[in-house]
Amino acid sequence: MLDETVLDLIIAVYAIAVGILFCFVCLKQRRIDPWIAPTLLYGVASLIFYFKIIDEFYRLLADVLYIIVAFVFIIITFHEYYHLILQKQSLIPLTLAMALNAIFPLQMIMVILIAITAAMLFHIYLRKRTPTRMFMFLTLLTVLISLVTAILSGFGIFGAWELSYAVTFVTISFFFATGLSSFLELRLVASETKYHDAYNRAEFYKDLFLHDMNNILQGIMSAKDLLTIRAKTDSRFDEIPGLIEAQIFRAAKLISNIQKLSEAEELKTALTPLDLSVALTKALSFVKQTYNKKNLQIQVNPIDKPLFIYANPLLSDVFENILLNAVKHNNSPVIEIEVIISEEQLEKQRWVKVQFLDNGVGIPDARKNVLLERNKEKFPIQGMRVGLSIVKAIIDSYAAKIWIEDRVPGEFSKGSNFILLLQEAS
Amino acid sequence: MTPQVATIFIVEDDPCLQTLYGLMLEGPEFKIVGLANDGEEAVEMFKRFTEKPQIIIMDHRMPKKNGLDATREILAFSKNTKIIFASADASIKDTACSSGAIDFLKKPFNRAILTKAIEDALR
Repeated sequence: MLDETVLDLIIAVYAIAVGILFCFVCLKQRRIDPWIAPTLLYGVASLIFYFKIIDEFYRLLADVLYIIVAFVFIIITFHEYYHLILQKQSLIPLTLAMALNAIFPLQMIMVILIAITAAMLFHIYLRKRTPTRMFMFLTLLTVLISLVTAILSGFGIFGAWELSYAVTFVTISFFFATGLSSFLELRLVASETKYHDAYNRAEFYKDLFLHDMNNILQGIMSAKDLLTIRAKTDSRFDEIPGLIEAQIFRAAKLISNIQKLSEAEELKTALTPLDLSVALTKALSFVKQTYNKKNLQIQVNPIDKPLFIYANPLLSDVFENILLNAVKHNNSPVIEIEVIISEEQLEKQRWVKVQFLDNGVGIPDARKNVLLERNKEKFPIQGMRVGLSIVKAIIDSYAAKIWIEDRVPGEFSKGSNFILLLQEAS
Repeated sequence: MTPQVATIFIVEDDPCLQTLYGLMLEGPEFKIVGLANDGEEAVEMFKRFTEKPQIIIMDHRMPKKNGLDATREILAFSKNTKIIFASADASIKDTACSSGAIDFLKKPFNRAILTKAIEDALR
């Protein structure tokens, strides 16, 4: 049979080990759980309690710490209960608990408070049925039993002392189970988010193909019909091969876009310092070549030094798509685009800011963010969205930023300003 | 006797398909009275027509306003207008028909199907 001192030492070591492990899982998930403090304090209190063999003062100190631990638990639970369930409607349990303080001695108050807290945790568990909530409830329940058995032990009830120690072991184990299950739950949520994103991406590609491919096939089908019904001498016959060719280029562009979107997702880590001006020059010449029949006036205002940013070869696609968008959605006889490049220092990081200002049709405020989203449920693919989806996917992979403003603030119909913040390579 | 000419309004955001629809419907029996690039423009143009077109060929996925919303607005304004949906998205067929579209053509379709749908709509 183990004596009390050995049991106290085992409990102290176990409680400290669990406290450290609990902290480790909380820090690993980069979330400082409010339960860290009471768990660690519980370990410290258990250790101090062991030193009662030296002086009874340590028992008193440990008891004070146990009470603080219990109060911290109670406050955490009350806080969560208040936000999750009461929602500022009623403070009856809190008021009741405070009223009890005036009536009963401290140990009884603790029992009642912990009982109320355990009931609240059970209520929280019923609302948010997760293993972590369940273990939190069980932890509090065992604390309650432990406290009751300690009181009974004080009255010399047979078996209460042994039960008190056994329950303490269970309590500490539930502490650890709470931390572990919280960690696993977060991993599960992260995994669910990842698969949800993958599902959305697959749906996006499917939608893109179904819609654009059928439109392309419609173009080819219509052109084929026209070739069979129109005489070669017809004045508009010569238009048809050009229309078929346009559909073929469109299909090729669709395939290329899908490939780039997919690459943007995969190349998240392969970022190297790239010369911004090289990518921009490449994009500008592509756009000028594509729209050689349009009256384009593109002005670039660079700064007087070479700028390198963390990117990959898809950077020119970002610039191309923004420029193509500015040309496509522009009814002005002279299409004006101004590219302004500048440097910015934000949150210890140097950024290169690239602004594309156009005199196009503009984008109403309600659509500015929608254009850069890729959620099929909310935003079915339309017109310019495909190109901008590629831009967004690539920019996300650079951990860079993109947003849209009005060229003239408050007057969206006077054109847009696409702003990029790219991480500068030192 | 002068053959009756069906007046047609095309709502389609793809300029290439606009041209091709125009070419497919060229002839004595059809007359294209307007081309709109999106649902919003379609509603505005439709309201401005002094003589309303008999048939509207309506795409669905378009900028600003989609085909379903444009259809509802146009039919609220002129309930006798005959709207034929021409969309790559077959999932909206039932919604299009319940919104008042007289027919639904899933892209790709050929000229024979398009002209038959127009003729059926005019009967």
